[in-house]
Amino acid sequence: MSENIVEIYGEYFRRAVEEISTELLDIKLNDLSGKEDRISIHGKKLDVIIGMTGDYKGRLLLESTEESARTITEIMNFGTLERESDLYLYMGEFANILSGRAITFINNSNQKKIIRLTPPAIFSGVDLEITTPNIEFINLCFGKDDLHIRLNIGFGGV
Amino acid sequence: MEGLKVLVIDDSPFIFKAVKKALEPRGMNVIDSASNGKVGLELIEKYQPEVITLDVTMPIMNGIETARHIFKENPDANVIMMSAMGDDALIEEAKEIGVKHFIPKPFKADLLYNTIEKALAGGNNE
Repeated sequence: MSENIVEIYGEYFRRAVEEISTELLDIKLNDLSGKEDRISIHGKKLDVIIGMTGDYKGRLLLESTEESARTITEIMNFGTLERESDLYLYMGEFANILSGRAITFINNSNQKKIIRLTPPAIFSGVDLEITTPNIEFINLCFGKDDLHIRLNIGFGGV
Repeated sequence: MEGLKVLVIDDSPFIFKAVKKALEPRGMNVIDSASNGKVGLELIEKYQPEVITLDVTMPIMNGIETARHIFKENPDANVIMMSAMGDDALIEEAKEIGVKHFIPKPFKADLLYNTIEKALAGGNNE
């Protein structure tokens, strides 16, 4: 896969984040990619991994602090979460909706279903680090006030 | 549409809440939710809902398979398919099995309400 395709497909994810954050959260997350010093994702983190399969194989990693995840999920839930486990379920759904929008753009631009998504896997931990070798990837960062998310989108070699 | 029974088949608890929030202030009765198609078919039998919102990607029995079962039993069922994936190929596949109404996630309350209105009037949202 050429680096160009990763960049092009990354652009669809960028558009998806902007649209979904506005539609679902009523918050326009600013693109802070390349300005990582302006975002803070440390301490207890929550990561969602969604696999991409089909003509192109890859995965999306969505990363946020627990605080940002709580902000996102409480907006989605219209209030405080009833169960702590909802934090994981809702972040999985957030990542799923976001990836679904990006993959819709990609599939429609190719005029066929070239990528499908796999169900999300959700992890949490303190200073969690996830590495996937042998892929070409793009990093995207978004934020507004104290809400920060990071996306790592990788294709190939998985 | 006061008192209209709506069943949600979706593995995300968020969608059940969002559908309730969208429709209950308008008088509809969002009766229950199922987290997969298999349970959904049982709840359809139990509640006989007038409208079913149906997710595509679910464990055990997905939305496409569930819709096949629903239309086999009742070709006139009002099924509103919802998915984070809204690509043309998926919509085409859903249409082939009889789904006339498709809403991408996330959805606006007005869009869901208007789509149900259209479904009950016998139209489609293409």
